[in-house]
Amino acid sequence: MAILTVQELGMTRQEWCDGTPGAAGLSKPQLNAAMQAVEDILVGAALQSAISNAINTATSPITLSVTEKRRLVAFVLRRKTERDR
Amino acid sequence: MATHEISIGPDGCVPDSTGSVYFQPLDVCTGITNDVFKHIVAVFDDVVDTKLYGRFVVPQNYVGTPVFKFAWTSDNGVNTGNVVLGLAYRTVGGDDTTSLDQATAEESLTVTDAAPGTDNFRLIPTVAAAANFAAGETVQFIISRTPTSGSDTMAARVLLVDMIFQYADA
Repeated sequence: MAILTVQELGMTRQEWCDGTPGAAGLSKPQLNAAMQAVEDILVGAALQSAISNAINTATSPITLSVTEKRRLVAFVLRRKTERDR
Repeated sequence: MATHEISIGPDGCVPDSTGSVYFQPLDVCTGITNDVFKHIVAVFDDVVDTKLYGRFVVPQNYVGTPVFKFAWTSDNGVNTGNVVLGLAYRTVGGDDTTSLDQATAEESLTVTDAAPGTDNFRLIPTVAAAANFAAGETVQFIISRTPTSGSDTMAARVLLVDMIFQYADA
């Protein structure tokens, strides 16, 4: 269930390759499959439900809207993932 | 009959508006480490389909056997996968007889070439063209890379060093 557009996929692939000499010997189809596997986990119902429930528990009795939760997760992931780039 | 080659690009060419094809000194490219030779190369990203536009004049000693050759290598030391390169062109001849503002290409050629076996090695795939040329004609052309093609499996930028027109004289 790919959510990245072809262009986004290409940009992501190139960004990863820029810091990986020789692209670790991977071909484009292999890299695309790896990135799409990560996508699938991130948009999967199990992970999204777990994150939503965790936020609900933390903010109780207030319940954030879906949009508010998405923005919260986006900002946390951005800070966290910047260390891994 | 002798064979001749002239460089028709990428010097003097114009990139499309994608932002994914551009010019860069060779030494700036990832994977180039000696940084001694710093000529310009045309860079084709591995993101979206891109085009580079140019033109040349067919030499006066041209007789036939037209061939286009792509002198390229991969960025970042990538040695895996294939690249789909293309060249479309239109010849415009005469004196006040033919428009330079044409809507279609006269011929579209593609070639699929494997990544270099060793980092930064030059590759030179060739593609034969139809006998559409005549001495003195202006040739408008479009060089392309098609990373969205299923046949383009190389996860790296293309560094185009030279676009070559080869032909035979009398």
